[in-house]
Amino acid sequence: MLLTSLFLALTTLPGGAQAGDSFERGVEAYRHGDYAEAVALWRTCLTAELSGKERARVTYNLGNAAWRKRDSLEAVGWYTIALQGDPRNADVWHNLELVRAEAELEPADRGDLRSTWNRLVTSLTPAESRDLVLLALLPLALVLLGEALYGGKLWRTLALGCLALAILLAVPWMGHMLTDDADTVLVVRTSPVGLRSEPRRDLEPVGQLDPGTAVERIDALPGWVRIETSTGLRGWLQEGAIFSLTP
Amino acid sequence: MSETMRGTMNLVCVWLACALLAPGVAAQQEPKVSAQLSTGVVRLGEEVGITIVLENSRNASIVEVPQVTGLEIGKPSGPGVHEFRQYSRGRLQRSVQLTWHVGLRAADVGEYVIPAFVLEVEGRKLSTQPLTLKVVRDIRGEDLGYLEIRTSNTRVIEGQPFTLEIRFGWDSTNRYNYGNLSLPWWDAMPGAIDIESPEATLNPQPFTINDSVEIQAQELEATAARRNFLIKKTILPVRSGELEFPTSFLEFGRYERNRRSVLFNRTEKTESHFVRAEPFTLEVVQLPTEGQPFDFSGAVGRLSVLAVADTRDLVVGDSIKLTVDWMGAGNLEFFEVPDLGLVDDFAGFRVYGSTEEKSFDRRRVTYDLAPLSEEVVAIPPVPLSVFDPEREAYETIASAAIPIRVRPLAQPISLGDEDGERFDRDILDIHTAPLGAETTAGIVPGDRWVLAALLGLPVLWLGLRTGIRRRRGDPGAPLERRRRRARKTLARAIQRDASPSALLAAFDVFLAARTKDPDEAWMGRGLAARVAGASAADLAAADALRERLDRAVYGAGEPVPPAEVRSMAEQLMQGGV
Repeated sequence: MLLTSLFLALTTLPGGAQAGDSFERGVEAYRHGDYAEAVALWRTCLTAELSGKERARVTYNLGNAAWRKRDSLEAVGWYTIALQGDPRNADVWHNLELVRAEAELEPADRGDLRSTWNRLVTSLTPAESRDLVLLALLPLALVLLGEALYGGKLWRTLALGCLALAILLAVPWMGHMLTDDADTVLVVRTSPVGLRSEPRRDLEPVGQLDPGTAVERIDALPGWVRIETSTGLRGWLQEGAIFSLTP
Repeated sequence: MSETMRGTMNLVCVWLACALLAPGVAAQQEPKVSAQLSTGVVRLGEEVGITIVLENSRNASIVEVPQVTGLEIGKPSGPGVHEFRQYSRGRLQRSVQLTWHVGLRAADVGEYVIPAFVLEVEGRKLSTQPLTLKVVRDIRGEDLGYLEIRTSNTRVIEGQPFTLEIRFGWDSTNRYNYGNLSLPWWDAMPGAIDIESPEATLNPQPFTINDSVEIQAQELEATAARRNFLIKKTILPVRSGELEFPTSFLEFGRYERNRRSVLFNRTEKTESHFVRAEPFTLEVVQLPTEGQPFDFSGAVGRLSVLAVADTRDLVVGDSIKLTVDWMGAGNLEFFEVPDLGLVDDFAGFRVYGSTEEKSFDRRRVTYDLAPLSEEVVAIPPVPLSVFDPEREAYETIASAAIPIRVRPLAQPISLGDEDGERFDRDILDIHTAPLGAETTAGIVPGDRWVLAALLGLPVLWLGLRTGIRRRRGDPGAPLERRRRRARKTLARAIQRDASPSALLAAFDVFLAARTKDPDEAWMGRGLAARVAGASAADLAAADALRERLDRAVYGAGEPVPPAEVRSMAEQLMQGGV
């Protein structure tokens, strides 16, 4: 056990320390107004093993740097990634809504029923939602054991109650299961982007995507990305027009 | 408050607002039903008519005609459909009215209460108000009393209030001491609204109208040996057409103490007379659309206006309370007051709002204003477009301008710009806490763990459940539950009664529960040959104990201590029984 711990410490420490160092130097560069340098340093942090919240902190800072570089759509992308790691962080929400407003996009939380539901379901990180499910399964397991041993109406009612509770508490986890695998990208070009049926520039566009539209990436070729919109429209976009929201 | 909670609160607020506003919106076009008798008092043998009126609906039918013993009520005829149109603030408003007529005849004299007629209106059931009909053998009273109903106008404009004077009286030499009025149109006149007017305070005398409403009438000066009374009522017609006033009656006479009633001080009518006022109609003329201003307020009548400001020397931005009173003979409670925020002359003011007071003789509105600059020198006149029924023309009445002095601010700011100082919105600062401060857990359960737990749990439960039931049967079955409770049942029985016979019975019940036999199965039987799975020594010891219990109950044996019975039960359970 001791040897294993020592081995883990020796193998993980240099990477973590290096990321920490890059992060600090990125902060220093940002303070001096060198946003390109800060972005480069913080991007290297993302290659290291970080916890979800630490990764959210780095991407939040990258969003700030993108905003300072007057690239509001890229800032929207970074803040959106930051929310995946730390969905209840008020700073991230504040900056995201402000940047979306400046980019003339509709708010991330429109305040309507659908937005409120989405925000409620995604207010937990994937790890938190998994913990919640396991926590809900514990009383269910105990009650099922009691039902198997003693039978009777009381145990069956308790089992049904615990099952309903477990299903309710599993909703955030199921939400993550359904959406996290999607390879979402964000259109970050400030003017409308033409969608082509094949990855060729000489073809006439078959559709158009507005800046800030989130679409799903389904294929890629060098310099081109094939996407599918929420309405089911498929086509190819130039790679430089999009920003990947997959952490 | 988090964003999530704010979103949810917004949603709840919208739902609540919808729920609160919906009834108010619906109430504007709510169907309304009423019924009116052609006369409240009738001579025996004469026919009476009931008119049922439904407003604001086209789709209705009478589903229930009331039955009253002694009254022969005919079938309703109709409905007749009447449509009305009126312009209000430049908009044409339409309304519809359905009318049914029902004839009835009384078989005998008396007072009859006619219950409600039930109508089905657009799937809902609505009821009329109950009516009271008095049937008398003869109506004679013209020589002794009188009833006159006079109107202030013979022809009125819709929206123009008019006053009815109900004058009545009787011979003062006969010492009549009661009077009741039967006015079928009272509070039940379609197309008109009763305006609340003050009751008489000078020589007031109480009277009952339609056996339901108590009202104070003014007693006038007696003339020619008659007592005279006066009631005034103001009515506002809300649409054009004819207002019908059916036959009205005054019943007067004498109430006297019943001398046969010794115990109770009862009074009864000893003399009654009736006198009638003939039915009449009043023509209500539509407001002319020609010459109607676009901002017509709906005011009709001869009105005057007076405006007063609470201060006339102030600084830019200070509040002025401008109180405007409209008075006179008109529909003071029913017109729309001017919105000064929309009046061009008030461009130099900011209008913060207004409060209103309504009464039958005055409409008072207090506006909260603030001058925007020191160049304002007067509060402009407050205009109101009114229809004058005497001149039969629209006119605008306006208050007098009120001169004011507005001083400049020491440090001028413009009220036109809400924010004196503007700040840019900006993003929040970066996060600078060093990385690596957060420790990650050694084992983080992944989605596969959760899936495995979700799938494995039911499988494990099913396996365990099936295994247990195959081995021991259903644990929830009554016999199995009795077997599990056997020890507790024995302990309770011993605690309840420790006599030798009770101990023996409790021990037998314990054995029956543990072996899933009926309670009487072990009475007088040996254990050793019949219980499987237990050691022979235990069974022999149990048999010995039961013999001792038998002797204690039926012979002269020593009593067995309860603790010994309990310990034997424990021993048998541990031994496999």
